[in-house]
Amino acid sequence: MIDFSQPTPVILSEVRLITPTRRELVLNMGPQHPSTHGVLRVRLTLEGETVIACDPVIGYLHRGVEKLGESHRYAQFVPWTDRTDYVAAPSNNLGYVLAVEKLCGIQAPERAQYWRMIMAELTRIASHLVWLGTHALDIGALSVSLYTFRDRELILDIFEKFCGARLTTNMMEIGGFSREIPPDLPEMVREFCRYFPKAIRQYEDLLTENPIWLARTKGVGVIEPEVAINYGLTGACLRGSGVNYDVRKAMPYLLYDRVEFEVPLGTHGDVYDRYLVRMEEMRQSIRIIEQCLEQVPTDGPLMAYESPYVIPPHKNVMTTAEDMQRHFIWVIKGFSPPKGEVYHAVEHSKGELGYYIVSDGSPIPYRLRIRSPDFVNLQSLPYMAQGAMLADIVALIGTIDIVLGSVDR
Amino acid sequence: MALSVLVFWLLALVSILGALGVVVARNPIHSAIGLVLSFLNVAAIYLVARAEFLAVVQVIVYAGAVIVLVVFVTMLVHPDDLPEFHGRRPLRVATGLILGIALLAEVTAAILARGLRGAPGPWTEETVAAVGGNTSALGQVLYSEFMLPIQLTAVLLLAATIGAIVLARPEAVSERLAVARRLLTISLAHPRGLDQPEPPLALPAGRDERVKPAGGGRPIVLARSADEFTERPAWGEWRPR
Amino acid sequence: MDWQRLLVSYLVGFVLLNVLLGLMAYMTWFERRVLARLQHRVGPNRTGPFGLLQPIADGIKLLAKEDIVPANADRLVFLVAPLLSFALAPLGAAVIPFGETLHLFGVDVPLLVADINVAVLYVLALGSVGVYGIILGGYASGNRYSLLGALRSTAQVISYELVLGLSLVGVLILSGSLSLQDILREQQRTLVIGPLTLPNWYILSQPLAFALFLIAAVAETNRAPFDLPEAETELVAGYFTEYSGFRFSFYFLAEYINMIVVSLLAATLFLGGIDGPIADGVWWLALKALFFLFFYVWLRATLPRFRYDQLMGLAWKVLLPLALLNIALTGLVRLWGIGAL
Repeated sequence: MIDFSQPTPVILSEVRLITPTRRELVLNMGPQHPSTHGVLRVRLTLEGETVIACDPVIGYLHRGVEKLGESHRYAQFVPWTDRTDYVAAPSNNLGYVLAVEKLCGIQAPERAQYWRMIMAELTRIASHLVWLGTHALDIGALSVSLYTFRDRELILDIFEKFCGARLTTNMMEIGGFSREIPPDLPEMVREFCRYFPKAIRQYEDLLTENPIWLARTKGVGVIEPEVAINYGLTGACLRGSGVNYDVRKAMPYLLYDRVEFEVPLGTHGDVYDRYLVRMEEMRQSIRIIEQCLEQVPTDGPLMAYESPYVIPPHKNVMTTAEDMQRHFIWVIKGFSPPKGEVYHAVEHSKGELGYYIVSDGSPIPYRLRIRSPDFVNLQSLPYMAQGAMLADIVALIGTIDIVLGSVDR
Repeated sequence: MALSVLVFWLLALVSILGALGVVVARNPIHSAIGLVLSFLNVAAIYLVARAEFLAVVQVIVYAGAVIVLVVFVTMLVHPDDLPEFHGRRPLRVATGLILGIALLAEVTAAILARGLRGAPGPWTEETVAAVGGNTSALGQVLYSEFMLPIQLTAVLLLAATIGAIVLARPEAVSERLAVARRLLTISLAHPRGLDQPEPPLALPAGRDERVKPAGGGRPIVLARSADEFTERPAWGEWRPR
Repeated sequence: MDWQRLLVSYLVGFVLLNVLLGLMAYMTWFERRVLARLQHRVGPNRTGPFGLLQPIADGIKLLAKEDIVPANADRLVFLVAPLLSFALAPLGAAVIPFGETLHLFGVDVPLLVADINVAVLYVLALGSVGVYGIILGGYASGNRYSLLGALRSTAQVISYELVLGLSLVGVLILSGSLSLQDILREQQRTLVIGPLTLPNWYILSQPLAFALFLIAAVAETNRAPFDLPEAETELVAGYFTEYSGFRFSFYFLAEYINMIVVSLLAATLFLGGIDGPIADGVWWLALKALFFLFFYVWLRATLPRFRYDQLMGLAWKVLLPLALLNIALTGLVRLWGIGAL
């Protein structure tokens, strides 16, 4: 029997301590719950099915990734970034290596930059596919998740072809790519770009005009633009509210200023708008990939070997004494970037992913901080959840698009 | 004949046991279960008496709807809010006993007065069979002889329904929500949150080609550069909730 | 003579119950295979040819699991509730006619277990009692998810039962009887409209009632898109969250039996049951029921889930007025004799 006689106080924020009244029910959702996307725990105060208060509790997947970054050499940390947002590993790699390159003043060769863009956009699509599948599954549309995972396989195949790994790719390196692009990779990507718009239409057939889907998403979880800015939301959560902020446009990195694409903005700021925005983002990503494939040089260096901070080319290590010594030092001791601090942000599939690095001139960062987008976006959950129904909570968790590895780090 | 009498006694026994359970059980849900048991056995007695329509209606209305609602309410109500039924108060016990005995006496008197000595009425087995069975006979009586009472009962039920809707309007929730929202706005620590709403904003003019219908009767706005739509949020419909 | 009839209907009931249990086991296989096809998957295909032994493997697995009773459960109610659900589920099939009366060894064998003259109400009554299995199970588990699932389910079943019952009134007005055999007999007549000769199936004269019945039946059996009581993404597993082993399987099986019974009922009430273009018989009933079962799976693969308030709004604000409208229209037609068809 449920013991109603012991009210549990729910701490929502510092200003507010809610003790549930007798009519209210405290429901602990997670960390072992099928739709909290990993190990998010949400404490809900319900009256009937209406949510009075919602209090996300995080930290169940905290592994101290930032601290690990402060005890590893710069190049050693790249695989760790895979493990923060594990459904979009290449984007995490990209944010980190761009920050380190900014610190060291390295410019990756043009060809590598194009391929980084292609991989980042493929990652965005893969991540959005996971989001779409799980979000639709939470709302009860069973089949969409299987369709999206079917198409995500194609992207993972491309990753596998490129670097041998599918999930935790460890793809980018400081200075570019040290491996050559497989010769049939461009055709694989092209084939995917030809196929994928059909797949998007298939998902849209199942969801976009579906009356139940509309009823479940329209007008649910509205975030006004002002509120979105105040919460520091980024990514589709912000753009769904109609605020035009996309790191690729606002602070172009790589060669995003050379490709044409549009940033979709929502008009009502609800779950449905964020859905529409992400669907359009996938189409825009295909556009970017297609332009990149046209513009990318077919050969040329992939690694900025001229920089002293970059691992020397394998061939020279085997043939020249200087490079062999440099390689030895680079691997054993690591490279020492100049003193200073640097912040670099990329437009991750979930929002602005930033890496802040303080270097004291040693081979290990003095401080490394990850500004993970979903950690910030998750803070808007209590705001959206107030007055929502219990069933909306899963839609709201889904619409924020969190990966707990990235929230907890 | 002997068999059906035996069945009757068995059903009656279980039904009384169920009724006893209602009174004795300390857990209100267990009481409700006892009541269901009692009702189902009464329905079975109707069945033995070849009143199958009455039996099925007994199950649908009493066992199905009424007791489910009782259980429903019991599950929702805080145990402390329930009245104390098991206090040893002599006055209450005495009242219960007197009322119970009075009811028993009334029922016995009614049976003795009518069931054993009164006239059986126009509906015999033959007349019932002639109009096409129990159910048809019941329907014909109810909707011809007792038309007015039926209508009055319907109006009474309607009034009760409307009363329930009026009583159940959710005021408490919205009040608490308003308080919570205000607190949350303060906790944001921003100068102009929801308390000072912006006036409604319109989409900047001359940008129609950037508005794309996206489905569900919703457009999305396509921005080509970071400078567009930055003077204000691109949409004008938002209101403080 | 009385004893003989009793024995015959007992035997028919015994056979029916066993067939139903077997069908129900293969319903899980059917659902998994069809769902898999609809979702670009293969489905169970390792256990026996086409995975046909999968239900047996599942059954063994479920029976071998530990029967866990949570510490803060209401023990007796917790143990009994799934049995209640499971025991009540197949009873509805007792009134469904599976064919004409057979003459075997000089004995009349009617191919239905009980010819009750209030059969339609009987089925509704079973549905309203069947909800106890859910609500008591949810309450007794001592788990808040179970409690919420039970509350949702109760409200849902009561609301949709109303729609279900009212949607059938049109059929009852047309047939003038509450007995399924009479309703079936009415539907075996032919309907002549000009050059067309159609069977007098009630789906033709009562299309609105059919649609309402179908929607309400899906809700009544707690299937997608109305599977809120067990919405696994919100309430973990709803009212049977705390159940394991064979008690869990009782709930699971009760749901599938309910699906089969409702499908049979829909086929009998609206599609002429055993009536077919050639060679009337139980196979037509099976075919029609199979179509409804496929429909269930199809819905599950296609539609998202309603929200609780939307579900109740649909029942009370849309379906119920439509059902009343249908009754009024049917009554008027009947009264003015246009329905002399």
